[in-house]
Amino acid sequence: MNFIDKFFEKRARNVAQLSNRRGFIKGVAATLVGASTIPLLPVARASDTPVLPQEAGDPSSCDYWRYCAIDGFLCDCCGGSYNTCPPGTEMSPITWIGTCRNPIDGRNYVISYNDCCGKTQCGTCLCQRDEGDRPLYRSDKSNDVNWCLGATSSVYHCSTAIVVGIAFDEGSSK
Amino acid sequence: MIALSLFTKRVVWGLLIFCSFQTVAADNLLKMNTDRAKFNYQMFCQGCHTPDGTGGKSVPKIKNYIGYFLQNQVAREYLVRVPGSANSPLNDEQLAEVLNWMIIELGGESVPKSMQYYTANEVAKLRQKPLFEVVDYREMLVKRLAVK
Repeated sequence: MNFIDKFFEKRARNVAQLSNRRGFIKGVAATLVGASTIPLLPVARASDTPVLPQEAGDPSSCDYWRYCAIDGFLCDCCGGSYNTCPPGTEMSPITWIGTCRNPIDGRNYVISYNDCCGKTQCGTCLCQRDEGDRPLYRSDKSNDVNWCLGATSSVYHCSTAIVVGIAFDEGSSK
Repeated sequence: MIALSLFTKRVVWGLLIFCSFQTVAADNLLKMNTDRAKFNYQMFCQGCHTPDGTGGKSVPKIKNYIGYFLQNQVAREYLVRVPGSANSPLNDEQLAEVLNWMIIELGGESVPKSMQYYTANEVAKLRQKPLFEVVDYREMLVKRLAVK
C-alpha cells in the first residue's frame, strides 16, 4: 500500500508541476465547445444520388424486371424509354410505386410507374403483371388508377418504370 | 484551493449533465431509422406528394411547409389524422418515424426550433380519429397558421 501511495503521490506531483488547473478548465471548455459543434457539421442526409442498378433484359419486353407491377403500355415501344416519355407527352408527377427484384444483383428496388399523358393510348406492348397491385380502395397502391389525373391532360398514353431507390430490408439493417 | 476544487467539481457536474442531455437527444434521434423512413415515404407518400414533397394540383405541398403544422396542437394532430397517415398500413412506430423524417428532411425553414418529435404512443391515439372532410379542415387550419 505504501508503494502505491508513493507512486500516486509522485505522479500527482509531476502532473501538478507540468500543468495547471486553469489549463484543465480551459481544456474542458474547449472540449465542450468542440463537442457541441459536431451536430452542426454538414452530414450526408437522404442522399439524392440516383440509384443505378445493374441492368439486364429487354426494356421493350413485358418480362423486363422493372415491369413486375406494371399495368399499361410500355413507353419503350411508344417512342420513349423505360424512364422517359415519348415526345409530345407529359410525365405525370403523381404516380404509383412498387418494388421489383433485380435478377442481376438480387436486390429489391423501388420503382415509380409514372404515366405519360396528353396523347391517346399508345396501343402497343400492353403489359399487365400487377405484382403487389391492390384494389381501388387502396388507391395509392392500385395500378388501375388513371395517374394522369395529376398531369395537365388526363389522357393516358403509356407507362414508364423509373428506379427511385433501394427497398429497405428490415433483416439486413440490424 | 478549496474554492478551486469546488469550481472544478461544478465543471465536472456540468459536464455530466451536459452529456446526459446529449444522450437523451441522441436517443431521440437514434430511434429513427432513416433508411426505413425514407423507404416508407417512397412507398406510401411519394406517389402523390412527389419525391421532394412539392405535391401538385390538389396534392398538398409538404416541402418547406409541413413544419408550420407543429405550431399548435390541433394542426399537429392533423398530420396524423389525415387519411394518408391514419389509414396507412404502417404501424404506429413506423408512422411516427416517417412523419418525423418528413418534417426533418422536407420541412426546411417551416420547422420550429423547438420541435417535438412524434412518438408511437401519440400516433396510436390520434390515428383512432381519422379525418373525413380533409380539404375544408386543412383550409381552416392553414388560415390560423403563421406562414412565412
